[in-house]
Amino acid sequence: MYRNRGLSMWETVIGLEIHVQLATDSKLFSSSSTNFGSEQNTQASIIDLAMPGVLPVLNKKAVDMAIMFGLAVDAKIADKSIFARKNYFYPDLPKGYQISQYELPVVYDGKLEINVEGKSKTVGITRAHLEEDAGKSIHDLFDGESAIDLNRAGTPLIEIVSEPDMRSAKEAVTYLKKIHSIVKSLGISDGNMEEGSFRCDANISLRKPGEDFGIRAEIKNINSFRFVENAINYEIGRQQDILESGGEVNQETRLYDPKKDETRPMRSKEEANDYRYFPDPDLLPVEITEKQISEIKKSLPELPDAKKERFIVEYGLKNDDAEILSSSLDLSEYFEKASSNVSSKFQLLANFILSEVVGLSNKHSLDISKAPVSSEEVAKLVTYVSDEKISIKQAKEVLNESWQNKTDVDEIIKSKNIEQISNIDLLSDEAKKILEKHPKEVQDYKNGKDKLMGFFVGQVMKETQGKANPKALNQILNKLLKGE
Amino acid sequence: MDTIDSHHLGKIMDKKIIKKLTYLSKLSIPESDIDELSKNLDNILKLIGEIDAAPTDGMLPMAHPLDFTQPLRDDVCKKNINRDANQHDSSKTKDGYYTVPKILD
Amino acid sequence: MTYKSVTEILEAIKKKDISATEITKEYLKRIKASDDLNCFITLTEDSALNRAKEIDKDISKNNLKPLSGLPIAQKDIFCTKGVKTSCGSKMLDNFISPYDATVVDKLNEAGTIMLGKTNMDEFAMGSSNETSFYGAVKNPWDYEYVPGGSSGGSASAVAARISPCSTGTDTGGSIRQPASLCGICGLKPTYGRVSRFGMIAFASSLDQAGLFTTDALDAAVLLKEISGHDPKDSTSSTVEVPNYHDYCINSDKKNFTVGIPEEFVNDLNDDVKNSFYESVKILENIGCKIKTINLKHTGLGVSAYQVVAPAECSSNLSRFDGVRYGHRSKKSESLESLYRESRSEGFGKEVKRRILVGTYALSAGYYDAYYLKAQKVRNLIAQDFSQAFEKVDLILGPTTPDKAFKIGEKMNDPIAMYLSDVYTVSTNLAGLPAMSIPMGFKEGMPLGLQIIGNHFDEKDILKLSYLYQKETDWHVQEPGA
Repeated sequence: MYRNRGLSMWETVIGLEIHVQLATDSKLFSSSSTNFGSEQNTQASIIDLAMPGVLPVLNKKAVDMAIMFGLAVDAKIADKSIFARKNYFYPDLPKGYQISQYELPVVYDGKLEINVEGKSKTVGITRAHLEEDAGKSIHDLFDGESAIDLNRAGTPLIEIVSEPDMRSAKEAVTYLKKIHSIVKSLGISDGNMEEGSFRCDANISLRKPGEDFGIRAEIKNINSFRFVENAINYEIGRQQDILESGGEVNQETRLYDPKKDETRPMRSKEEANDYRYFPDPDLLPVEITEKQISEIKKSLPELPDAKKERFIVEYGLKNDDAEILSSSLDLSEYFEKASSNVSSKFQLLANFILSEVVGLSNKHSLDISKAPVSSEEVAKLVTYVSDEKISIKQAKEVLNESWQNKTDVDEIIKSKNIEQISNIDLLSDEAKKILEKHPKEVQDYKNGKDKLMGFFVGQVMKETQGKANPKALNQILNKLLKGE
Repeated sequence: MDTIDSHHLGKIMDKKIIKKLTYLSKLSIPESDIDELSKNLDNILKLIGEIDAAPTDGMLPMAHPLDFTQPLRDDVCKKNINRDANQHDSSKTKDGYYTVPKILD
Repeated sequence: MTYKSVTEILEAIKKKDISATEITKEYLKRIKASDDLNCFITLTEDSALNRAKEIDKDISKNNLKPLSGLPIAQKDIFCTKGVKTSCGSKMLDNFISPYDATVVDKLNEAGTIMLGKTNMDEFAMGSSNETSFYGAVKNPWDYEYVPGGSSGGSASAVAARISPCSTGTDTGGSIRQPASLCGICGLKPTYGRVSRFGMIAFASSLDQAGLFTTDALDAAVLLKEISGHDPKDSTSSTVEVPNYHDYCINSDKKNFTVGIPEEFVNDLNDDVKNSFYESVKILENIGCKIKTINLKHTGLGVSAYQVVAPAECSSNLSRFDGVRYGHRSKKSESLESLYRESRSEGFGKEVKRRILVGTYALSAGYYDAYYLKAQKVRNLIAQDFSQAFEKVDLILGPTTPDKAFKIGEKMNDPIAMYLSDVYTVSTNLAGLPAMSIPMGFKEGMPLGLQIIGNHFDEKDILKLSYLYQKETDWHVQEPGA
């Protein structure tokens, strides 16, 4: 099995093409519904079926949504944009061509700043264009036949093409997540990867630094963030092996198999296809005015970068934490929901979420939106910590248990009786007891061995089954040791 | 190829090119017809090759005869699809799906 | 029954001199008696009579529409709901359309009665109606001659007086040329004047729906009913539709400045030349001023057209793949063979030729030299016309270089066939309106006069034709009379 073994002499070059299904009510060129999951071919009109004589008419909302995206990534919006036909034969493509954009896409020359492990980087966005989605072919329904459902045919997509600016799987996934967050924040897509409304193709090649781009392989239709990272890492390892043994990478299209965690070449489709792009004569140039753009600009919802700034100002978060929280819509929603239940300790909350909640999500391969512990529950834990009712260590344990057993945080704290002991008198008693038990150590401490404080704290913790409030305990011990 | 190379006019449509074109356009031409087809296509190319000498420097290509821009449709969903009427030719469908010979991926 | 025109029929129906049912029965009888002309692919006898009955009911309640009771034949390129729509091809021999084309819908709404679907060159590709899967159509003036194409069936039916009017389509001359060869009026409106929704596409930036009638006034009446913006067709125009009939009858306009391009008359044979210049004299007598003009890139028209049209059609015809409707081959062991065999069995030779040429013109490495270059030539040609229209109101010339040719004469010579479109293709490339009207005879076969107008100037074309037809009687001549 190939694995990314660390690239001392190779530089990875990654470009991503993301297909985003737009959340319009009707299709790009027909008035059929775009609902997911309807019975086969009940949302395929005479236009979607490419009946003889039918013609396309452009959906205004799809254009507006493309403009919104362009504004969100600092891109230029074309004042005149052209639809082109991409010609090829496949049963899920009824017309025998896809209406897409070739020269003159609606959005071009954009960029996105991402933050990967503390470092900031700009990824260029070459273009984002409108095109129609194809239908679905299902190969395991009937014996010896493939079944075609054209409900999806004609659904509006924007295809977002990045510059080959990414240099690692982590960078690619960060970029991907930020685009995901943007399209969801804008409300132009539900970004549902399982249902296919957010799909990613990755172009990966290796080169020796300073040299020209190497031959790239395209991995198609990856539908989860985790799979993207795995697929890219696998592919890097595979290409590294080929190049280091003196071979050449094939320019080909591959599929990622999540069960085997590997990529393999696609069999069909790819005999050299000449798409013969030409401007679609059934459609006229799309004109977009400055006025339209400025009206759309006025109505844009909050974008990740603005959210980050707001998190810094409103919640007083550190820059890096704000960056990470704002770059994922699910994460930012989780945080904000929790924050409305926490009075002021936002940084504490952020720390807890970023290390503990995200940590558990990663460990169990879950998206945070599917975390079994709700943001309200996490807010409770953080509040208890900040009220010194429990310690951070205890909060982590409770979180773990709640996650595994799906029980309420309050129930766990009660049943395990792990409420922190903060009672000054109680703690003083215990502390005094310990100091009386270890007079030699007390003397050593007074003579300068400061490290022994840890020993005293540890002893009290042992006596109290770890429930002593460490801060209060420290204060009491200090007082006792200095005072006597 | 930026201009039509007039040296090649006369015999462009050889078997190889016709094979590629029939692959792209999903046609099949019987062997016995290829010679006649090749001749006809070459004559057509000769005819259309006359545009090569046209004085088009600085001219923009004209995709549409009139200078209009694309009208936009409101995003309203119309529930007027009659699957049975669309699929009245039932020889091509099964349970509402269109069927084709199994595609290997 | 001796109604000579649409306007006469409408008048008679309004006055209740004849019922819709009676007139429909009459034309159905004539059609069946002229079966050997092969004008019709589908005769919709039962539905025509049912509809006539309904319309008679409406008429009895004085509920009259502009064309109530008018029988009409529809070119089999227009989708007609519940009725076979073949486009002259084996590929669609089994296709029953689930919807009506906008043109059909509008004519139905206006009260017409569809007699049937007329024969045509396969997928509108041809100039003689010899490429149809359903066999050649005959020219009613002499059955050994072609009626022209691609709207041969529609033209022949009106010329033979077995339908008072019919619809057609014109991409490179497919209305005007058959009108010329059959001795009737054929009108191609401005691109975008009439909706293309439901009109099976050949070359999308050139196709336009139009009409065949026996005189210009009929064309004026019908044009109003089929014109207008259609939100289902992105390329359809919002320019207002005038009352063409009213303009013909009531406007004073007659002193048109008419331009005759040298390129249209330089190579004419004597018969056509004489006929043409006699017509020019008549126009002068009406009050027109005649000017010589130049459309200097006329010679490139056929070449440019034979790049643009095949390129667009090669893409438009990709939907005919045997998957969702239409002909599907029995030889379908794999997807590839399903496509190849269905399409090869379904399409005829001319269609395949054009698909291959079009595919070539769009393919990588050739796109700039062919398709892009042809679109630039198109601009040159359009500029020629717009410069000419700064000096003249209308442009005049013969519709075709000669009278009809014999069936089979040009079938083995596609180039000769293409070259006969030389006077008509430029107007499609420029999107201009044009009409062919009868101007005389050569050896007993009709000749046609073409009048070309500026964009959306159909009313002036119709007006001049109407004035011409007041001074001549070519348009009332009938074959076999």
